[in-house]
Amino acid sequence: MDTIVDETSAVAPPPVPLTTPTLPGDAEFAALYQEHSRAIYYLALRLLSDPTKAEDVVHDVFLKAFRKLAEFRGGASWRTWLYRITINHCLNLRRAWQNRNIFSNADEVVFENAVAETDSPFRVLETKELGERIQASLDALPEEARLLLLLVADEELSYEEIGALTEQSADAVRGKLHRARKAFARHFHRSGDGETRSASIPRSRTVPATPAVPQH
Amino acid sequence: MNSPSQFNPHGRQETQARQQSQRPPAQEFMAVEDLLRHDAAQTPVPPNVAGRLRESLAREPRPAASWWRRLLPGGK
Repeated sequence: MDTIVDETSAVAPPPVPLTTPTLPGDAEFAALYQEHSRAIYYLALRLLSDPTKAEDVVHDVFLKAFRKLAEFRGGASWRTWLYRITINHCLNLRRAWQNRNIFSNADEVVFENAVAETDSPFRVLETKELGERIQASLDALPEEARLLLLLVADEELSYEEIGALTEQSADAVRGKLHRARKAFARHFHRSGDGETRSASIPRSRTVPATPAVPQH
Repeated sequence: MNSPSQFNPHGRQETQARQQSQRPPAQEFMAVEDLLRHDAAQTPVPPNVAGRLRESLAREPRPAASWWRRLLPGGK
């Protein structure tokens, strides 16, 4: 089991009001935004590796949701419904980029050959560095593995719901997650190699430059 | 003038110990999911998004159905 140590503490800022209710339904839609926008933004941010595009995704997803409210039948949760819109939106964006750029699949090989290097405890010194290391580790994974890890991190989703979102069985999700976790841990360890393996060695000698978040 | 701590190695140690104690406590994550949840909790939506969305919604026709009454808890 991975043990990852961070010395920072999470401080969530107060929510930003979306609307001043003026018509019936405005307050309810604002409540939807307040409850789900952070999850949508985080999923988009880590899928796309681009904060600006993630902002656009949140805007576009909620606008699309507003237009499609009448189509929502309640068969799924709001979170699942919004995730479905988000995933489709993000995958369409990525496919558009892939059509314009040459992507290397070298990391697929790394993923396939991933071995467990997950027993060493980790120590993360800065919040910014933590985000960059997480992003770099996710970027090294195949798209599906990245998506599965991000979805399973949302405690509101069951394996069945994740399977429905990714069009596969819950058992398939479990199997793929097992490999995805190992691959993520391997990349995460490598990105901070030295920092966590020996705390007595000066940081300047042991911590490599944190890879920048790629901009698309 | 030199600071007292330069003449007092114990004082320097005390300062270092105090600085250490003032650092946030380490947090342990037993799984990748826990790490990602922590990261998500530290990643707020930029506040300008709500403003952009508010402007976009103002230009949209209102939903025809009383969707919130059908679907949200407490709606009647």
